[in-house]
Amino acid sequence: MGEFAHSGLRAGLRGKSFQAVFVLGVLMIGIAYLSGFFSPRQPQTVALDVGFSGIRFSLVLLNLFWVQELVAREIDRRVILFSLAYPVSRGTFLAGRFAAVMILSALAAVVLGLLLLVAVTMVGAGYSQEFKLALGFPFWAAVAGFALDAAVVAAFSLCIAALSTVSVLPLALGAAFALAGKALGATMAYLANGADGNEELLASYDPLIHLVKWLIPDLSRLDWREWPMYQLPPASGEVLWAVTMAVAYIVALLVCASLLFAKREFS
Amino acid sequence: MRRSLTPLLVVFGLLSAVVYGLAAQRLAGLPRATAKPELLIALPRFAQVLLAGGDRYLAANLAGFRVLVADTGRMSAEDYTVQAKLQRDIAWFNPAHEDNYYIAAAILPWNGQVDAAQYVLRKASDARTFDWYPLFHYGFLFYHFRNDPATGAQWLLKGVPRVKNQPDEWALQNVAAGWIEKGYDTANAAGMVAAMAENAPRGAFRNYLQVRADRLRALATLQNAAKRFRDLYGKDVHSLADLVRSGLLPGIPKDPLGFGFGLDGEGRPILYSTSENRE
Repeated sequence: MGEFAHSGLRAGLRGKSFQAVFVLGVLMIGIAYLSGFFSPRQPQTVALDVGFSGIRFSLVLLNLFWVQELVAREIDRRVILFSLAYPVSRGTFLAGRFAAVMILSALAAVVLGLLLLVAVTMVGAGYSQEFKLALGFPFWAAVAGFALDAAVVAAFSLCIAALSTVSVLPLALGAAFALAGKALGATMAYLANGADGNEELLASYDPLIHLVKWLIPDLSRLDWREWPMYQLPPASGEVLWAVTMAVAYIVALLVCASLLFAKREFS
Repeated sequence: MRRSLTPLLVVFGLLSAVVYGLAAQRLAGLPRATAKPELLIALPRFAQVLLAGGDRYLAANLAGFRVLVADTGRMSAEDYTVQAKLQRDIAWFNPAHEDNYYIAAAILPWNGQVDAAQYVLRKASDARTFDWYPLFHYGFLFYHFRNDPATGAQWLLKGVPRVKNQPDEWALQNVAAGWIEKGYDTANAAGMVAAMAENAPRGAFRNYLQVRADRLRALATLQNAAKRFRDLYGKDVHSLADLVRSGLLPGIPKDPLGFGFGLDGEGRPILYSTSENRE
C-alpha cells in the first residue's frame, strides 16, 4: 500500500491537470482578495467568504483530477496491469491511491489556506472593520471541513472509477455528486420552509429529496465558515455527527469500490 | 498538392477575419433589446444556489455584489422591487451577511420596501447574536416607517445586552426611553438618520443617508413653523407659501432630492417621495 501511495504522490504532483487546477485555486484566492473591495462594512469577511468558496471548489476539482489521473487513466491505458501484477490484493492498490489523494489534498488545503490568510490580511490594511475575524484555529477548522468535504467526493469518484469503463465518468459524476451534496442542505431547508408557497414544487420534489438525502450525504454540514467569519462556532454535536457521517460514508464507498474492483475483469 | 493548398488556406483565413470584422461592426451599431443596466431579474433561490455550485454563501455574495453595484440614482420603483427580492434571498442564503442588512436598512424602507427591510433585519438580528445594529435598525423601522415608536423601543431594548461598552448602552436605553415617552418626532428621526450617516464609511452610502437626514430636518422646520402658525392664527395652513407670507420662515427649504414638500389633509407638512405628486 505504501508503494502505491508513494508512486501516486509523485505522479499526482507531476500531473499537468494538477498544476492547472492549482493555478486556478491561486487565481480564486486573487478573486477573493479583489471581492473584499466590494464590501462597504466587512471587506475582510467577504474576502474570507469568497476565498472559502474558492478553496472548496479547487479542492473538489483537484481531488477529482487526482482520482482521474491515478486510477481512471491507469485503467484506461492498461498501465494498471503492471501494478496489479504485484502479489497484493486489488483493494490495497485502491487504498494506496486514495491515501495518496488524501495527502495531496491536505497539502493543497494548507497551501491555499495560507494564501487566503495572506490575502485576507492584505484586504484589511486600510479599514478596520468592527467585527473581527477568527483567523486562528477556527479558520483551520473550516479549511479542514472543506478538505473532508472534498475527500467524500474523491471516495465517490474512486468508487465510480473502480467500475466504470468510460474514463471521464468518474470526473463527470464526481462533479455532479459534489454539486448535489453541497446543494442538498439548502434544498432541504427551502422545501422545509414551504418552498415560498409553491405547492406544486413541494409536492413533486419533497418525496424525491427524502429519498436522496439517504443516498447522498449533506455536504453543507461540513461547512463551518461562520466560525472564522462571525465567531459563531458550530454546535459540537453538529460537528461530531457531520464528521462521523462523512468518515462512515467514505469507508462505505471505499469498501464498495474494492469489492467492485476485485470482481472486475480487464480484457 | 500541398503547395497549392497553403495559399488557399491563407486566403480563406483572411476572408473569415474580414467577415468577422464586418459582422462585429454591424452588431455594434444595432440596438440591444435589453439595454437597462440596473437590476433586471432575480432568479429563483434554488437556481441561484445551483449556479453557485451548491454553495449558499457564494450565492449570497454573488447576489450581494449585484445589489452593491446597482446605482440608486438610476433605479426605478420596479428596480427596487427586484433589489428587495435579491436582499431577501441573501438574507436567506446567509442571514449573518453584514453588508446585506446594512444596505437593506439604508435603502429599502426609503423606497417603499419596508416589508423586505423588516425581513432582512429580522433574519440578521437572529443570526448575528453579537451585533446590536440590526436590532437598532429594526426598531427604527417601527419608529419611523410603521408609526409605532413603542414597539420600536422594545426592539432597541432587546439590543442592550449585546452592547459592549457602557456609553453606547446608556445611549441606546436613552433613545428607547425617549421613543416611549414622546412618541414620534421628525427632528429626532432626522438626528438619528444623520448619526447613521456618520457611522457609514465614506462614499455613496454616507451621502445617501446624509441627504435623507437633510430632508427630514427640512421637514421638521416646516412642521414646527406650521405648528406655530396654528398657535398664532388659530387655523391650519392652506399652502406652504402661507408660512413664508406670515413671516414664520424666510423661505421654503429646498429638497435635496428635488421631490419637494406638501401638506396632508390636516394641514401638516409632509415629504413627497416621488416627482409625480409634486404640486
